[in-house]
Amino acid sequence: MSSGHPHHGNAPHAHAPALDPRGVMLLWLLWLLLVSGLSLAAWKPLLYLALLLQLAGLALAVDLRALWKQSLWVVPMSLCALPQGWLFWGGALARALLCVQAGLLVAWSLTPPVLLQALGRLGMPARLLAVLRFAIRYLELLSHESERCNRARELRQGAASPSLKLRWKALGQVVASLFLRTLERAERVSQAMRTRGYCGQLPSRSTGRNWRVSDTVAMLHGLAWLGLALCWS
Amino acid sequence: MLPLALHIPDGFFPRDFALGGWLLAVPALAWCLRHWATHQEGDDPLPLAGLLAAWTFAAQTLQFPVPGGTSSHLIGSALACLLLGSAGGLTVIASVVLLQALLFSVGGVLSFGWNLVNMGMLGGWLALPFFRLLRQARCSTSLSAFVATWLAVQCASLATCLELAAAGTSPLSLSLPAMALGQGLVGIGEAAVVVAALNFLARVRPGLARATEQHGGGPGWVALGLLAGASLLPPRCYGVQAPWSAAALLALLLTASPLLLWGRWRHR
Repeated sequence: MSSGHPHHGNAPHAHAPALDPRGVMLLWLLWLLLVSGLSLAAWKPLLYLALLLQLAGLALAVDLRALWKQSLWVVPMSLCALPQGWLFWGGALARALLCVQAGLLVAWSLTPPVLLQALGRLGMPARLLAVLRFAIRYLELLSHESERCNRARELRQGAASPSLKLRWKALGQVVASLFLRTLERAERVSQAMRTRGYCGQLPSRSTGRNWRVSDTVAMLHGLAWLGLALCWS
Repeated sequence: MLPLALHIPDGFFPRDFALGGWLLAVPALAWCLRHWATHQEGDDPLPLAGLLAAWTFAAQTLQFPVPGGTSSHLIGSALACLLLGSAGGLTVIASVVLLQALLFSVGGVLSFGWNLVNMGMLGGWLALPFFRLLRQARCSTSLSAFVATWLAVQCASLATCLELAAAGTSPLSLSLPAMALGQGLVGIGEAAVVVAALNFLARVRPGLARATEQHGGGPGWVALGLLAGASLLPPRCYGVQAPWSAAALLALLLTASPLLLWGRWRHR
C-alpha cells in the first residue's frame, strides 16, 4: 500500500519556504491560473515558466530527478490529446507537467498540518477540514497496520509461494481484518472525543504566524516573476 | 487504445473550462456540508467519514492494468455514498480528491471541480437512486449494489469523455470507446468490492449496513439530469460531426431505462 503522506519514510522533501504558507498557496493558485490560461502554442512563456520552476526547485533543495519522475504520471493521460497533432499534444503535456511539478513542490515543502492550517485560514469550511484531518490521521494508521499485516503474513508463509486463489483469499482476509481494526479505532477516537467535550466542531488552537511585511515583499517578488510570463505571452 | 483515468490533471483543461467545474462542484459541496451538519442523527459521523476517506484514498492507489499499457483504479465513491448518504459521501470524495491534489499533486486544484463532479456527483450520487430502485424491485442488496455501482462508474466515465471533448482536449470518438472498455472492466471490480464490503459490514456492523436502505437518492437524480442535459447538447459542442454524444446517451438510457421501468413495475 503506497498510502501515507509524502513527508514520511523515504518520500522526497524540500526546505520549508520563508513565505507564509497562505502566500505559498496563493502563489500556487496564481501559477495554476497563469499556466492553464496560456495558449498551447505559447512556447516561450512555457519554457520560461519551466526554467523558473526548476530554479525554484533548486532553491528549495529538491531532488529534480524525483520531481520529474513523480510528475510523469500525466504522460499516458496526455496521449489522448495526440490525435489533435504533435504541437497540441506537446503544449498540453507541458502545461500539465508545469502544474503537477508546482503542486509537488508545494506538497514537499509544506507538511500536511501546515498545509491544512493554511487552508483553514484561507476560509476552507471547518467540517471539510475536519474530515481531511481525520483522513490523514487514519492514513498513517492504515499504513502502519498494513505493514504489520504484511510482515505477519510473510513470516507465516515463509519461502513457500501460495496459489493465486489462496493469495486472493489471504488478501481479502487481511483487508477485512484491517478494516475492522481501523473501524474500531475510529469508534474509540470518536468516543474519546465526545468524552473530552467534542460537539461537532474541532477546536482550532494554533492560529499560525501572522502575515509579515517580508511576506508581502516575497509575494510581490513572486508576482513579478509570474508577470514576466504574461508579458511574453 | 488510449490510457485514460478519471483524475484530470491541472493544465489539461483551459483555465475557463476548468473553473466551470467549480461552478458545479462548489454549490453541491456547500449543500452537502450544510445538509450533513443539520440532518445528522445519532453518533457524529466525522470519524467514520475520515476513515472512509482514508480507505478510499488507499483503494485509489491500487492500480489495475487496462489495455493501452497503463492502469486504472477503483473510485470508492459509490460505497461512501451508500454508507453515508449523498451529503456525507460527496464530502468524503471531496476530501480524497483534495488530499490527492494537495499532498501528491494527483488530479489538480483547478480541475478539482470536474474531478468532484465525475467521481463524486456521478460516480457516487448516482449509485443511490439506482440502488433504491432495484431494492424497491425486491432485488437482493448484493445485486442492487453491484448494478448500481457499475452504472454509476459508467456514468462517471461518460462524463469524463464529454468534458475532455468539450474542452477540445480529446475527441469523443477516441476517448469514449477507450474509457468504456477500461472503466467498464474496473467498474466490475469496483462493484464486486462494494458488494463484498456491504456483506462484510452486514455481519460485523449491521447498523452501518442497514443505513444503506435509508438514504434518499434525490441528488442522484439531479446529477443524472445534468448528465442527460450535457449529452443532449449539439454534437458541435463536443467538436464532433457524428452524434457521438447522442449515441452515448442512448447507450446509457438503454442500460438504465429497463432497470427503472422494471423497478417501478415491481414496486406496484
